[in-house]
Amino acid sequence: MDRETRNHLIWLCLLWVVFSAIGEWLVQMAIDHWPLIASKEGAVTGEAIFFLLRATAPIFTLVVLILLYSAIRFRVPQDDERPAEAQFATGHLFIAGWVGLSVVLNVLFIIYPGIYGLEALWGGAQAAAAADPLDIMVTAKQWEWDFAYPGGKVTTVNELVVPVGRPIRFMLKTEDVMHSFWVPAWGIKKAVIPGETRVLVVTPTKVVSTSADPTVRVQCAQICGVGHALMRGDLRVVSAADYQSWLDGKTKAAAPAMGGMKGMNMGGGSSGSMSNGMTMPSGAATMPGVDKSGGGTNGMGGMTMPGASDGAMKPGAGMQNGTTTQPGAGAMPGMDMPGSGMGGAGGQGTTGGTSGGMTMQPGTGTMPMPGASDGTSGN
Amino acid sequence: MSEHSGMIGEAAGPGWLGHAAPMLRAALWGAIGFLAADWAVAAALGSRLGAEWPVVTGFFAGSTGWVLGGGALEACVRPWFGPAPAWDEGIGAGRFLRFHSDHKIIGIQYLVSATVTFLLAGLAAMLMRLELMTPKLDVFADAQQYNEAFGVHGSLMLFAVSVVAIVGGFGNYFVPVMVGADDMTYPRLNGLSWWFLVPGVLAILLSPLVGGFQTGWTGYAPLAAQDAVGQDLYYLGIFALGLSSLFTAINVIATTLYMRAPGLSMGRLPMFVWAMLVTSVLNLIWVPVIGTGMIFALADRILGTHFFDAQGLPLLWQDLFWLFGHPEVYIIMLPAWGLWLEIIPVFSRKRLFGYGWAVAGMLGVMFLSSYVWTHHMFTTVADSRLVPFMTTTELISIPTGFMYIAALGTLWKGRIRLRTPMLYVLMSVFNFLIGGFTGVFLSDVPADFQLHNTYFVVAHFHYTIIGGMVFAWLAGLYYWFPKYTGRLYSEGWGKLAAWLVFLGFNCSFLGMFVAGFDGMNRRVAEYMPYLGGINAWISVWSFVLGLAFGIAILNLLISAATGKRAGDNPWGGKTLEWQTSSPPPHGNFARPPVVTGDFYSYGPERGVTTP
Repeated sequence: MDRETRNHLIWLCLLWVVFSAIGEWLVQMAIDHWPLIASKEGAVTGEAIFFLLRATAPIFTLVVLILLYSAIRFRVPQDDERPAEAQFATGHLFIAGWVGLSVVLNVLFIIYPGIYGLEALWGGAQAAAAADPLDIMVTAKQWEWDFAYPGGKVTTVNELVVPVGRPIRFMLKTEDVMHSFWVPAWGIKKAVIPGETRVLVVTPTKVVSTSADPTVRVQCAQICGVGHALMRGDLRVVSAADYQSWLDGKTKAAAPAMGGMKGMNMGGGSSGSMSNGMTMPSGAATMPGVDKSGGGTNGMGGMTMPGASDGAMKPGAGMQNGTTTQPGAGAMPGMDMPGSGMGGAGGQGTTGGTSGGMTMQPGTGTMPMPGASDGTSGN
Repeated sequence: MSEHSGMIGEAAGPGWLGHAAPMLRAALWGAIGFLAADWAVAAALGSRLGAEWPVVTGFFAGSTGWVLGGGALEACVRPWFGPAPAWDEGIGAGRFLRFHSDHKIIGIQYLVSATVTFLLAGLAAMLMRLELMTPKLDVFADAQQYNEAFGVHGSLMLFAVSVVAIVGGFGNYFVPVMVGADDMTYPRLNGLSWWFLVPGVLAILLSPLVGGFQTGWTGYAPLAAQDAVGQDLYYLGIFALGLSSLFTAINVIATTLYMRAPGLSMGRLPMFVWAMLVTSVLNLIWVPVIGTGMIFALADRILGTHFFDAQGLPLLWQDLFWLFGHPEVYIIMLPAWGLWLEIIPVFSRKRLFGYGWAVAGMLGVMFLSSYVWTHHMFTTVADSRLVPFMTTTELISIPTGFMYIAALGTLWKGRIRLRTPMLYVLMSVFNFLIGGFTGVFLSDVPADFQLHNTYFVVAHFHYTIIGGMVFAWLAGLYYWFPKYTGRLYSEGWGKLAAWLVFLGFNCSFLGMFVAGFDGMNRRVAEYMPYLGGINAWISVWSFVLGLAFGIAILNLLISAATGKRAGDNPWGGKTLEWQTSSPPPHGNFARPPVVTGDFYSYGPERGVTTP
């Protein structure tokens, strides 16, 4: 190696050390100011991100330095056409070093944080199954999140309340299209696939709420139509005692609601007959701007809206799980009527707020819903 | 040479109407075909003109009218029935406005259409960024319009710009010249390819007229089944664009394998031609897969089949889509690497470093890219698929690294001239490094569980596609500008625009990584107020980026009309396209070239090719 090359390399090494240190410092700054991580699983995925940031910073620095060093140090006036003095076409040390390093890094990254992190997540899920997890049924639909709590009495819409420190097993289903269950602060998401039940285990580690930190929210992370952006729910992580008293309160409120209409805040008056103690806001509230005419319809008869076919004809939606609080047969006829009403009034583009709400009732899931098919084939 | 008629036609000769007559006829036949079929089917079924069957039938009739009207009737169909092809290929500017079999004309057609599509789809992006300036919906009338905008933006950028700008534009123009051939192997098939591109672009661009599609460019089922008729146009448009890519792929492979000049062994093939060959193999294998997917999905909508709804397999769509969709990422990036390694030696005045490694890297990427698609589905597939696809995905960084070996090794101790093309290439190398390293995060399953479908992903793939491919495309546009126009561009404006593009791009898209970490999900018109600051920042810089792209392209247009004459070889390049006139004559070379050495020698033994 000649002296000139050696000088270049010494400079490069010095710069690399300096800029790598700066890079690591910047990474540390970013990690110190990281958004909230509030679950065991999020700690795993967050640690994976942190490790990759730390590990790739010096490598990134090295490549950028070679690039910049060459562009600055070996630059000549742009009209200078003379060939370079050095005309080597290979350099065994450089190539061997590069290939060797990239193989080593790949193997490392696959093992840690890749497989290691997956083992942590899967191991955590297994341990949770043995450790009295809280099972919450999640039904995603356009465009809201329904949560059914253990005990078969309490259902909430766009509002999730869970205790801190206890593994929670979310059973994820969809009544229509694909959605994705994501709480940014929990650091993990899972797609919800039509016709399937997916399980996601999360152990919250911090008492937080959406109002305190907006990354603590249930957010749909898979484009699912016009209401996708606002398909989100408030999340409160509370102490075990607070959770129990909240659940008890809800359970109590659910019982009298069977007879009258107390304890509900449903928006649509026509939905009174299916009151079941759910704190369900009207469909309209979660469906911003659904006013496109012609959209969502198909010109040809026989076409299906997934809301009707996938949700209604497939088992696995709504009542299968046994924990939703259905009021029983008495209310079912009542649900049928607004459904068929929707077929006439709001079939094209689901314009009506209350009719939109109707299609979203749990329990209509297993009913054929004649009204819906009228609505889609009529135009 | 009298071939300098290049871009802007001389007024002499047939006149404007005469020049444009074939394209006007194509537009007329296309419009008549569409309207007639649309009306006839609507009348027969008693449905609206904008209903499903009328529009689908109209698309087929309209595309056929367009392709035949452009000249395919006389040039391609007529010979089937006996008579010889009878088609006037025109002169001057008129050559670009008709069915033409010269690969250089077709290359320009692709470049122009890709640029126009790029600007239109970019305009959609500007509107989206304007919407995202504030957390609330205020630019678009409703979320549906926003969804249609990102669907059109993504579909056009991916299927009509990224995969065709370099392959269709430079691939058509330069592969035959660089291998010393007089044209592609199948010139008329080549001529057809561009004419299939236009209906594809129009179908996607105009889909909002019939309700648009809200699924984005990925068209996920079963949401797609809920969409308006615009979704059918998405399927048909991408199918047509796929046909266009297939025709080009067949030609590039055949030309590279069978029409090389004497002495041009595969081991001497220019890097750009290698990139085109490898890309075309990927196209040939994987475009049919997505074409199949599009047909199945269309059948789901218009024939009532159940491939992809809950009665079928919703995930099957994702598999079919990404089976093509991930190789497509490399269909986009391989040509960019080819441009890097073509341009870097010329502007470093130094031999290409590690030629064999670079070729091996391209082949390695070609092979591995077919085994990584599930990484788009880490949050949707069964756990059993996670580790295998994490492994293959991470491994693909190894052959990708070979491009960096070649690029950095060539730069080292070169004599680097920072002209505009070289500037863009170095920027592309830098940007793609960020795209690549953030890809490591997404290939890592635990990290992906958090980052999937966030703005981190949006930032990542824009770093590979804009940062990698579009920068390289601009490098190519400037590098070969003297060759395809015969003129020199303005260096000052070129560099200014390059720095502005670089600044606007990095400032806006680095912000998207932050938004992703902060919990911003993609494909939303509205977001929670705490994300307002970072989004306003991204938007402002994206407008700078849009403006900078405008300057870069305007510079090319003005220079094409007013630039100084370039001469045959302004950069001192060694590859064959620099050994003929600018632009090359019909047939490319006055005498068939003979290759006697490699194209990347700048030492004392320079001048090894004898045209």
